[in-house]
Amino acid sequence: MKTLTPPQLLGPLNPIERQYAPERFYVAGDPAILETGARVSIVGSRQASPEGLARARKLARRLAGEGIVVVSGLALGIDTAAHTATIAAGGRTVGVIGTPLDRSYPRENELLQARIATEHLLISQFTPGTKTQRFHFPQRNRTMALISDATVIIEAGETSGSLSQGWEALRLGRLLYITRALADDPALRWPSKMLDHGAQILSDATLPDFLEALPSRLTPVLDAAVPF
Amino acid sequence: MPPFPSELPFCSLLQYSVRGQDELSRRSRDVRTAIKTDGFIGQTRVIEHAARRVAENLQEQGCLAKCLGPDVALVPMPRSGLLRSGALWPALVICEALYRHGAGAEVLPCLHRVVAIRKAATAAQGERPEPQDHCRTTCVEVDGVDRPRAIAIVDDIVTRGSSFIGVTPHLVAAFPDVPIRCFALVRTISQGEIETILFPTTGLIRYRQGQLRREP
Repeated sequence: MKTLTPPQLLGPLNPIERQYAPERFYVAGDPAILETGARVSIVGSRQASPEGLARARKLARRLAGEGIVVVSGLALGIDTAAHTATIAAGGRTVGVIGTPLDRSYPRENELLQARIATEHLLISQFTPGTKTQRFHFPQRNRTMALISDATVIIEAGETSGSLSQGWEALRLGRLLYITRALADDPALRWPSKMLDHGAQILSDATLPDFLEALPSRLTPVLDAAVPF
Repeated sequence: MPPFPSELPFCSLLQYSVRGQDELSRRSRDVRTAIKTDGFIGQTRVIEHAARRVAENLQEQGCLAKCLGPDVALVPMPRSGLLRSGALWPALVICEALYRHGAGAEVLPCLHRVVAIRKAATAAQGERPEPQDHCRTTCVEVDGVDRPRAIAIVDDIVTRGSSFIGVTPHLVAAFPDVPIRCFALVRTISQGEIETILFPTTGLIRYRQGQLRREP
């Protein structure tokens, strides 16, 4: 395990990014993964539908094929689908957890967490030994938004923790996409609010624009020179 | 409401290639992304770096002086979506950086988006917001504001210039007879590769018979 400050892990931050950035990160695995490609969070419900899980897997496979790093929170449902599909496709994934690195929650993902910690990258903002509180998970969601160039919400109800990540992505001025199925669901009120504040709809038609809008990471992030 | 202008002078500092595939074109898109997110390349905050380049151009009496003279009020263009308190507003960050580096007399964030509209950058051709859409979805608040001697509307990216044309009637109504120009940190190059990212430019946004054209 390494302990890194936000600038050591992510590079310098602007004032809006610094506002909710954790004081330090505890990381296991290879932090250089963060420099190798654009970073996209795939997040959503723990009790996801089969269609939602399929969408998460399909998107994760596509992103992995494009060399994009898939970020998620190691929760059940959408998060697990995103991590496992990325790994199966030979891609790189980052798990950002709401517990310290020495704990795993949920228990069902203990082996997946251990694999990510050794072969990919596992990040926590919580000091080892810290007792996990409910509010740690929304804090983790803000951190995931900070780490990611873009966030995609696959499936989420009105009280889903993924919404805190979505609002944080919008606050940071990062790309936020929601699925067409969410945007068209008449039972949900949050999608239209987020669309009004700058979220966009991810579909087969908009996927090329989404990929084009991501940073290319042609050069190492931390020591590149401005090309003008 | 005053009519839309038939032409509006504009300046820009940088250019980026929308579809180019060589390394410089791709790097120009990283510059675009860094500007839209107030991000860094390496250890350098890109908007701040660009503001220094603007200041150099102004000190050398370069072409940007046509838009960003010392008597100009810098008016940030609203984002296409609604803005929550405390959220990033790239055009405001650009205005503040320009002002810190000696461009303009003041920052005047008087334009606001009241209804969200589709982002021009991600809209298909033919579905992009027109000046009427920008005019309908924005307002100006100038209570207690002194009349500026000149205005530069400032945005991060200019594609066709629809938003510049669209918000101008609000500013003309609020500040009659005040000269209005516009400045974008980056202009889009929609076809082909680019040979340089730094390319200070002046030109016109024309709006005639419902057709927008940015020159160059």
